[in-house]
Amino acid sequence: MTQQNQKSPAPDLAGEYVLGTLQGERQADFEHRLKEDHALQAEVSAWEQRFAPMLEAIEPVSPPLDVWRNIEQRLDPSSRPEKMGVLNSLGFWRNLGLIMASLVMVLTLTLFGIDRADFEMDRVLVVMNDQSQAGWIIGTAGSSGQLLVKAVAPTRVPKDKVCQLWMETNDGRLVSVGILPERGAARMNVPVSLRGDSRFMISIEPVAEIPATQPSGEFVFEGGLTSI
Amino acid sequence: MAAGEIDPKTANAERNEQLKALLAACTLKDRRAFAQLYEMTSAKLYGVILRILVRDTWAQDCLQEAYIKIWNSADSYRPYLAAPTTWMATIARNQALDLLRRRRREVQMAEPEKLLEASDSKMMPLERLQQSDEGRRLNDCLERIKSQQRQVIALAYFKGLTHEELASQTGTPLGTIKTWIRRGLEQLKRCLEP
Repeated sequence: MTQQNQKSPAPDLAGEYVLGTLQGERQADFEHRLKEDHALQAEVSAWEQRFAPMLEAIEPVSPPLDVWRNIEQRLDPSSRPEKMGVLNSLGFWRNLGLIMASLVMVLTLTLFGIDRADFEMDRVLVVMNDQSQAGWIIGTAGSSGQLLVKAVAPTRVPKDKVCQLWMETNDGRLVSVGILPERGAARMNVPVSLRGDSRFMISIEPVAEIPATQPSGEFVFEGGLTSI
Repeated sequence: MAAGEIDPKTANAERNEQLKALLAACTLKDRRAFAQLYEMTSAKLYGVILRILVRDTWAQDCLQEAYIKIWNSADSYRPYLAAPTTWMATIARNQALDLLRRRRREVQMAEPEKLLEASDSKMMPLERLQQSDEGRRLNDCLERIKSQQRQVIALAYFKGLTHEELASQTGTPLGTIKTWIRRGLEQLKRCLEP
């Protein structure tokens, strides 16, 4: 292993991928493997971390205000001023290129999703799944008395089981908030007054017998909200 | 440390926690959180993009694309894999390199010798690497590898040059370039091991 001859070492594919020298077919093959291979994902991440100080060390430069205005307009086409009729011109799309055009399409599609909710969070909670990854994101918006819950990578449970969200009241009582969505987003009404230090818990319950006052088994997650 | 002084490490950790919470809120399509995220990080990301693209009009378009991507893929951020700033800076860098590769033909590349010279002094912000523990470690390790290896690594990292482009731009045989990069990466990895 310690030979110091002229022989070139085997390529570190994750390293070359992050560096950017993996191109064409080799890059496509690697990215294909990367989708499923968690060990490879961790290797890529480790290389990104190794090089991160180079990006960190770059002097910050304030971008012109226009950039944020353009971003806002792209996220919310209804606020686009009249002069943006330029969007309809052919030249605009040519300059923009196909890649951005498809991005805009994707964006338009998502705008018909929960973008319309116009929900401004003041606190969030990242609920970990059984793999200790972000499973759901829960957000609260001040006085709305509602939670917005989005499934990211939910804990996988058998078909006849669900993940139930609980909350603790001021006097330490448990109340059921609802069943966490398996995919997509859902709004949930908070049954008791929500506080900054409210605690949330998750239990796994049989669909046929969802408990109302206490979980049937141990909690698989417990956590509090973070202010933003 | 004197009482009342804020430890930069603690401040950084707090900032990271806040950025994580903002990214989480972005997955819920919270526009106000996104605005705050932009305010806290855009100068950093613009700096990264500008370093790669140099031309400010490209950099501004690219910054837009990067934030649209961050907004749309906030739910793929994995806090256990990367700090939020690293994740966002990586998106910005990739976005800038994509644009640079697409427009490569339009860009007049510098003379080979000048390119190699420039790669060390301009592209690697080595003096500023001294400002964090991780940066100092990376700097020490980079200084240990041969300067040619360090230079091609910098050109690939900040200019997105492929093996073939590195070979033609620096007037070095392709096999030598591949070996330099493999050795450089191997030594860097070994040197940075905890």
